[in-house]
Amino acid sequence: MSRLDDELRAALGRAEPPPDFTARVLARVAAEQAAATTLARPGVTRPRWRRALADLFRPLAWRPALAGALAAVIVAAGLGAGEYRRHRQERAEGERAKAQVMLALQIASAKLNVAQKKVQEHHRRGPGAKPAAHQQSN
Amino acid sequence: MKSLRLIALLVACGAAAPAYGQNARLQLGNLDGLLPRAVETVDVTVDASLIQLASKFLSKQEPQQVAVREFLAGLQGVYVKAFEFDSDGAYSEADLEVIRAQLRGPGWERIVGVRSRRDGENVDVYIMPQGGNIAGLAILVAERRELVVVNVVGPIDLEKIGQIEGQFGIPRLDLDWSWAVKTRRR
Repeated sequence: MSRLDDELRAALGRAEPPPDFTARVLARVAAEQAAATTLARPGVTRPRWRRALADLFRPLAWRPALAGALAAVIVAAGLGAGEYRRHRQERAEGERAKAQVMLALQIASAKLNVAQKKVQEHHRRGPGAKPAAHQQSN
Repeated sequence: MKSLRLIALLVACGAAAPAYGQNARLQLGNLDGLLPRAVETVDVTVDASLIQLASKFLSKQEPQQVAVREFLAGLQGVYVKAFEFDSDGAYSEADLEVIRAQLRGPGWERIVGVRSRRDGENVDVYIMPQGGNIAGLAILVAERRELVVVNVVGPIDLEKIGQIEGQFGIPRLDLDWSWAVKTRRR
C-alpha cells in the first residue's frame, strides 16, 4: 500500500521545469513569427502543404461573391417563375374570356335565328309584311 | 366669369359624351333573383377589357378567327343572361318589364317582335342605330320555361356580322340588317 502511495506521489507530484524551458519556448515563438513574415513576402514560395491548405480554403475568400451570385440566380429563378406563372394565368384568363365571348355570340346568334325563323314563318303566311313590323302569330 | 361658364360647358359635354356611349348597356341585375328558381343558367359578362384579352387569343392568320377578331374589335361588351326552368311561371312579367322599360328608352328601336300564344314564345330584337352602324343590340326571348336576354354593346359593324356567321357553331343567319339601319336613317 505504501509502495503504491509512493509511486502515485512520484507520478503526480509537482516537477519543476528545466531551467532553459522559458528560453526555449520564446525561441520557438520567435522562429514561428519569423517564418510567417518570410512567407508573406512576395516571391517567397510556401511549403506544399500550406499551399494545399490555402487552396482548400480559397473559396472561403470568395464567399461574398458566391453568395451574391447565388442570390442573383435565386432572384432570377424567382422572377422567371413569377413571369411564367403570370403568363400562364393571363393565358388561362384569355382562353376563358375567348370561350365566354364565343358562348355569348353563339347564344345571340341562336336567338337571332329563332327570331328570324318566326319572321319567315309569318312572311310565308302573309307575304308582303314589313320585316320590321311587330309580328304576332297564334 | 366667361371662362367659368366655358369650363362648366366643357365638363357637361365631357360627362354627356360617355353617357351617350353607354346607353346601349342594359342593367340586367334584377334577373339575378331568378337564379334560385332556374335549373340551368348562363351568365356571361364580357366587358371591353375582356374582349380585348379574348381577341389576343384569336389567331391572326386563320381567316375564321380573323373575322371574329375584327367583329370583336369595336365591341364594348357582350352580356348574356339565360335561365331555364323546370316549370311554367317561374318568372313574372314584372321581371321582364324592368328590361323592357329600358328598351323603351331613347335610342332603342324594336326591329322584331314575335308573340306566339300557341308556343308561348316571345322574341324581341332591339337595335340602337347610330350613324351607319348599330351602337347596341338587345335580344329578349321569353318562353314558358326559358328566359334569355342578350345585350351586345357596339359599335357593331353590320358587314362583319355576316363574316362570322356559320363559324364556331354560330348559325348562318343570312340576316339583312341594312334595312333596319336605312329605315332609321330616314
